[in-house]
Amino acid sequence: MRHVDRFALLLALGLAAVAGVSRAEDAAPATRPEPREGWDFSEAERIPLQAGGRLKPMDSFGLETILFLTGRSSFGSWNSTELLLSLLSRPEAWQKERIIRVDHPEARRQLLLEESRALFAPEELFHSPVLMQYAQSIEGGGATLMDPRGAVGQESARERELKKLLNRLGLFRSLVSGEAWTVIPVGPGEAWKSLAAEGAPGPLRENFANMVRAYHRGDRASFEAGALSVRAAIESAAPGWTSSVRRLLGVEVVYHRLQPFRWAFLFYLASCGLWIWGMYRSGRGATFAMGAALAGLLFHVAGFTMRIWISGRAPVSNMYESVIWVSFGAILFSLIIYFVQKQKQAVLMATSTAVSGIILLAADASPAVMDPTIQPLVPVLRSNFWLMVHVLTITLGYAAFALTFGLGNVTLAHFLRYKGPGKPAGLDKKINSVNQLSYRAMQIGVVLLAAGTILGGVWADYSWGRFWGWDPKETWALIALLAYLAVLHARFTGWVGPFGYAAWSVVCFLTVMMAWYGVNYVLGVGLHSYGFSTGGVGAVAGFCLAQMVFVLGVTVLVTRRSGELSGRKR
Amino acid sequence: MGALRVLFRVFKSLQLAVGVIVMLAASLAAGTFLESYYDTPTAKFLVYDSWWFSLISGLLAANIAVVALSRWPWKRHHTAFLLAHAGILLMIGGSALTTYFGIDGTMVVSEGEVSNAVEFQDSVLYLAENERVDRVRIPWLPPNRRFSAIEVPGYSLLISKYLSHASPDVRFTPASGKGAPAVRLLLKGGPMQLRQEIWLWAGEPSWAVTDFGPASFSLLYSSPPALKKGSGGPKGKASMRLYVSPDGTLHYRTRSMRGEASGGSVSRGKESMHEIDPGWRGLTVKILEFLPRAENATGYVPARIQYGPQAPGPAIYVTVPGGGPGMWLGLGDRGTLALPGRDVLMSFGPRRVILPFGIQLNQFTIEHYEGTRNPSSYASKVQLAEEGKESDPFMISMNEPLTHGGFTFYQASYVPAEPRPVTSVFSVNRDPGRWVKYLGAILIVLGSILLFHRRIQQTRKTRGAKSASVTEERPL
Repeated sequence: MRHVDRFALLLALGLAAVAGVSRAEDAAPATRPEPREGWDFSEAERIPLQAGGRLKPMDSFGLETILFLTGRSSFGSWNSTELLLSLLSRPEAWQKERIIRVDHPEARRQLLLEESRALFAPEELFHSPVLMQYAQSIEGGGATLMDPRGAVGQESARERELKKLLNRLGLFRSLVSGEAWTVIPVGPGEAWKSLAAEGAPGPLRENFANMVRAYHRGDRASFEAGALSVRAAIESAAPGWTSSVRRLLGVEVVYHRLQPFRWAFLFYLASCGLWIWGMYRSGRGATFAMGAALAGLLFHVAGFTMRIWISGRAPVSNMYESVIWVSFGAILFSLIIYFVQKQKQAVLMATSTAVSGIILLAADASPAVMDPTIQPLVPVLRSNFWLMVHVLTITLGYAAFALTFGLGNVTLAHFLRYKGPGKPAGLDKKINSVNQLSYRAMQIGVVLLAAGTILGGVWADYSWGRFWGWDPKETWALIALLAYLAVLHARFTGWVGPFGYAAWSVVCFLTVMMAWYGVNYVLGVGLHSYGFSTGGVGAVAGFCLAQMVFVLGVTVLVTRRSGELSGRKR
Repeated sequence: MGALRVLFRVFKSLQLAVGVIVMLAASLAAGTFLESYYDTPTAKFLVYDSWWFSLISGLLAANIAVVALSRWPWKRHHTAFLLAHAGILLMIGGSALTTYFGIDGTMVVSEGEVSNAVEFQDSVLYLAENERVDRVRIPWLPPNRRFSAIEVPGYSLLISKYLSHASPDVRFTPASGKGAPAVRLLLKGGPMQLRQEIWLWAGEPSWAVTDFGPASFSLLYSSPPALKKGSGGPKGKASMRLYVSPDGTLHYRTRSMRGEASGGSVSRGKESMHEIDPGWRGLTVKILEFLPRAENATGYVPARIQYGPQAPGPAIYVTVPGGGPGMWLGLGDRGTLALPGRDVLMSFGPRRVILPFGIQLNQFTIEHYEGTRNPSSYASKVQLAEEGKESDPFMISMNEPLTHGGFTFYQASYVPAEPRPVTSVFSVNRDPGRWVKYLGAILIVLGSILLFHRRIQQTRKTRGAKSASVTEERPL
């Protein structure tokens, strides 16, 4: 009982300092917070709250919280909403739980933490003198660790990690104190108030506190009733609340529960397997394979549509959204080429489902690098039709190149078995037809990338007063374009034969990787700064390196087998 | 004729095209990495604005032009190819127009003021002697590039040193004869736990008075006024006035924000390390150095920040060959250099272009993200100031530029200030190549779509006749 009272006090006073709270631990046995088996959180999940510049269901807030604190998309077997409630009801117990991520090994070393562990308890971190000292130095405005080159945004990885860590601790603090719970609606246009805010309307807060108390007691029936009444109370108090807003929040919960992109890549990968299986069984099972691909596409489009519906804009604002769009584009182009051509090519579908599946899988597996949460747009991107069009066009170009890239690898794999013209029988034909497909995709890509880059110039001319400014993002788009143009021209001249074409189409994709990922995550300069982020450099570099090794390896093998095959003719 | 034919054949080759494209792509890639490592102006200088980059673009243009000409007489099936490649030529030509005839500078205006000057990154040294005024343009150089001295014609002066990003190194040295007194003070303590050195010098008005926060410091070459003790004076700004009386004694008169006055004298020869407590909430002033006769030896040293938007402006060192010591001039500085028998007035500043009209800033507004100091948007309410014309106010914000008289003004940044910024920074552009580039853009897109469309049809036609061996598509 003393626990609950203290919780009420905490709410009432809006206590921010968690450090002072931990001494009240004596009253209850120090059990660890555990998820409650078999409880139904479907009402609590839909409680609306205003956070990060938009209205969202508690469920989304919980998922964003888990991602932000732990860097993972889930935490144990916790339901995201229940985790939030548990944090609020047992702050002192959560002090001891390993829930906060410290990413950089060097940062861990500096904070005198275990280097082999990634998750730490808030208690451990709040007691780190190094971290607290660093926090004070930042608060004092002392720009201390200035890079000698003095450029902005050139903080070291360690420093970035420390800042991120302070933000994580800040969120933890405001979660357990009630400050982060902006569930109390105020007048239209005003920011909602938190549970801890002074002068917040009493009844609503009391209602909410009762619900949390019920959760704390383990009183399931009154918790579920409480959640229902809290939701109704907030909805009736929220300005501009309509049934369509409620439906939208419902869609958002469904979107997170369904995880459409996870289904999409599972179906794509299954489809890829079926296509490959069919190729060795003289084309059997194509219907199933196509069915799986279309099922994947269905989930893909559904997820896409829901995301547009929820955010109210085209999904092109960050890496995650562009990954979804590019993988969609790759499937789309392959389906178009597949159905347009008289001769149905299983290899095309196998490649496109593999490419899209792997891209989506990578995005799903690294939420800390590609942020999947739905965020409001930065001002520069807001309500700008042409901006959206240019980004969508360029990334569709990337999609076409991703397809070329996949097909190029298929050709290279074919060349591993190549023993000269006509040996083994039919391989020439296979290589030719795959290259032909890749060539189609490359043409689509070149037209789209050229058009998109030019549209970007038109937009830049309108909004910044110049058509072209050698901004790294636009420059790398141009580099990618030039790279593909060089390959196309080299193909005309006969400088590169089928093997060279395939090898270069693979290598050229690395320029797309640079334009797409590298400018935002590696270079980190220029006017496209709203897309900048960090992380994943090792993985991407590893991927590029592996590709280069594969291309070089095959080249060495093939040239050793026959000097003629590299297609050098005068 | 033979040489011309060979040249024609070289430029006609697609191999050259591929080589040039690869070279272009590689230099661009290098440029972006340089920009990431250093900063935008350095990358522009080293790559995009360099002579060899123009050469590569020129090679590409020549290559494309010759390839297109070599297809003469043009047939109908050449249309797509010609459109796409003419588009690229127009693009390159348009960019050249922009580079050589365009304007890309900045304009800084404060609220309530009118400006018609567009400033550029390179700088200009103005020299004035009697009625004559000359200007010497000094191109911008990135840090650590070798600067070759510039001779100033007609003045027998030499600009011998150049710093891309310089910060002043304030220094006064003892002088004999006509030097004026100088004093170096240390401000210490107070509620902000301050520690700041300042120099005062009676030799020039701009050096004799310095405002520091709510207090003003001055050094005068005269006898001090009679001391009025107590709190009779006007309230307001805190001040410390230092006087050097004709006999060379240092006196001081201070005033606090509450109007309390105090004062005293420092015995001769014991000035340095003398501490004064002006009653400014614990802030004390210590005299570190007193020079009864001093001359200004302020120079410039490379700034601590050498790259990025925070790096300060350039400085130059002007010398008289065979003459005495030279003079440092930072951006915005003026100075007089004594040549044998004549004085030359110099002024160093950014290169400017004066527009035929002005921009008046009525109001600058900035919005922040809730509860943070991060600006979410900023905008400037401006009005065109043109003689004999009345114009409506216009709001320049990000993505909403103002275009007038061929110039485009867009909101670039602002000068941070407390309690709110009142100075707006616009980027000003004039792009004579704009429509050429647009035309080129349309041709490129149109041409490449047609080109690939035609190719698809071509392969459809030839599909039946295709042999089983690995084949090429024939070039155009």
